[in-house]
Amino acid sequence: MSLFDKNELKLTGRYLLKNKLSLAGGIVAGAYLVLVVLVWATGDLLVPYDPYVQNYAEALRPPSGAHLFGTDDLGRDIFSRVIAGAPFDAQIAFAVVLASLALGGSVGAFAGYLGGKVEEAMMRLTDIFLSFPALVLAMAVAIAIGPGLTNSMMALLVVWWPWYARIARGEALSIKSSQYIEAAHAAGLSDLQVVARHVLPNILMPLLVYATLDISNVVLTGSILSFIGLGAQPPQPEWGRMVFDGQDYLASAWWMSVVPAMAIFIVVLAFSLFGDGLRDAFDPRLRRR
Amino acid sequence: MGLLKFCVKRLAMLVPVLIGVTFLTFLISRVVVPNPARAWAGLKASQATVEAIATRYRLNDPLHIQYFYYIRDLLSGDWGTSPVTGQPVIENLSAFFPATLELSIVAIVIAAALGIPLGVYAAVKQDQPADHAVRLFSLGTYCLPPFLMALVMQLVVFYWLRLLPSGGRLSPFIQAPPRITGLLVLDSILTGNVQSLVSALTHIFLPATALALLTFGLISRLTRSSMLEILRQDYVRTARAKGLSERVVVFKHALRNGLVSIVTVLALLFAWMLSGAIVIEYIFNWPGIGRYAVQSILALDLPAVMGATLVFTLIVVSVNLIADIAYAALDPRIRLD
Repeated sequence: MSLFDKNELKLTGRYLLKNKLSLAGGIVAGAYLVLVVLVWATGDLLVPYDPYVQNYAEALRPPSGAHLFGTDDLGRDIFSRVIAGAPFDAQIAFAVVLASLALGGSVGAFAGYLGGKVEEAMMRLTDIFLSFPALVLAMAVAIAIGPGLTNSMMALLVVWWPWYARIARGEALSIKSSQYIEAAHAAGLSDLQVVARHVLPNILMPLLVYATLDISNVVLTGSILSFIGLGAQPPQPEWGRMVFDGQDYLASAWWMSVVPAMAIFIVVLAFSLFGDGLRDAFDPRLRRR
Repeated sequence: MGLLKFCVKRLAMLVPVLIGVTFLTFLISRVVVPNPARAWAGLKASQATVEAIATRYRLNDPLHIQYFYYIRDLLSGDWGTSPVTGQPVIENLSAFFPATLELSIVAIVIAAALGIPLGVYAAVKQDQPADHAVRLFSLGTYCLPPFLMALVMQLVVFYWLRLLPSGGRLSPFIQAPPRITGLLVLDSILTGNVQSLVSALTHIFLPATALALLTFGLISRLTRSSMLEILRQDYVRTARAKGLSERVVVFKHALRNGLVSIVTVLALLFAWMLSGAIVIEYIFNWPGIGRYAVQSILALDLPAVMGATLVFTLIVVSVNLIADIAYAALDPRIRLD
């Protein structure tokens, strides 16, 4: 399947429209992305209160008309902080997924195309990475390079790329003996040129579908990394970190931790439903049911 | 291929994986870390201590020599000393391990008891509203951040309803049974201590259920797809044609055959579950390796975190090994390739 097959895309779109759950997921995920762009573009103009300014007189207020989701122990408005924090998880998810796609995709495409020892070496290397539970390896890398937003993304990339390498290798393997690849080779293109111009563009679609489904996994794991203190640092209004800061106040101010945790859940669920439908839509066996 | 030969071959495959895994943890703790000696000695350590650590773990030697001694230390049980607690990491890990084991076992039993029947139900009702409801519920729990699950359960069951304790393994007023296996529920039964058994059960219920709910969505979906495939097989049609009741067909003929792959998947879910356990243990103050890992991360205690990383990975690698061998024992076709 080439990347811009109009018929294929039309069929996919029709399938998605029929699958209401996935459509709902897509709408929520889209709304989240719009919010991210708006917050990014306008800064803190969108929110009713400054997400960073402390106001002890208003500390630990329950949800009300003035504070939709209540306030935290420092009197900051939770609603404003949740909105202002929206871009963090999108940033983590897209950076990690795209970097894994680029790194894992090219390593896997080369390995699958070249075959032999290169392929064997890549498979054994990815075996090692995949032996670790994802979160555990990410936290080991993150503690080694030190906590922080950028470092937690680096740690996630270390864990994430092998999956993409595996998929790209499988896809490259399946198109390797196609006539157009052989023709490109016969025309005198080097291995690098064949992979870059002919293999990669043709295996991109399945990788992109997987990447869409994968966004929810990255958001979830990334939020756990921030929760255990390895991601964004206070006072940044990152959702996972807000949950962590609020858990000590669970008895007196549950909204401090539950609201940002719900925000993470909604984003993860939306991308998951959408990605799920997208995967089914691209699988011809499932589509014609 | 005989089962024994399969086991030997599978064990041989373990060697490169173990070398690779330890090499990666070695790289992380010695090369990726900007200043390994400082990190291993602790941020507040004096210059003399840092130098002593550098000499002790040969941090100034070439990498291949460092790796040799790293492996030798790991095998001899020297997993480093935590600069925060001042205790050997391996001692802490073995003290906390039984709690994690107990929690995971109870959680996977609950997850299977919920997930398998629900998956069978969804498969029997394929494409009907019940199937969609199960799908949404499964996907919903799969997407739940573990801290949301844990915090909401703690909030509702402990703070609002006052039904069960919020954390820990045992009520502080109860004497723990003598340590036999380290699993409190089992030790209480073995020593016939009803009081501690009740206390241990009420304490494990919430964290284990939270952990189980995170996993059970995957189990029910896998059960569903495996059952759907089996229900289309000829022998199921034959069983129906014989006039057997639908219940006998589904449970005796289909589920029994489906269980082989489901049980294998349960083992593979262990890795997923351990990740959840890290957060769940921390929130429920459950004294296992997960809570130890989080506390060590918060204290920037590198040796402790690397120790926990190795233990978690070794658990996953060995569970996968057991699952592969069990699968081969149950299904002779697997041994062929």
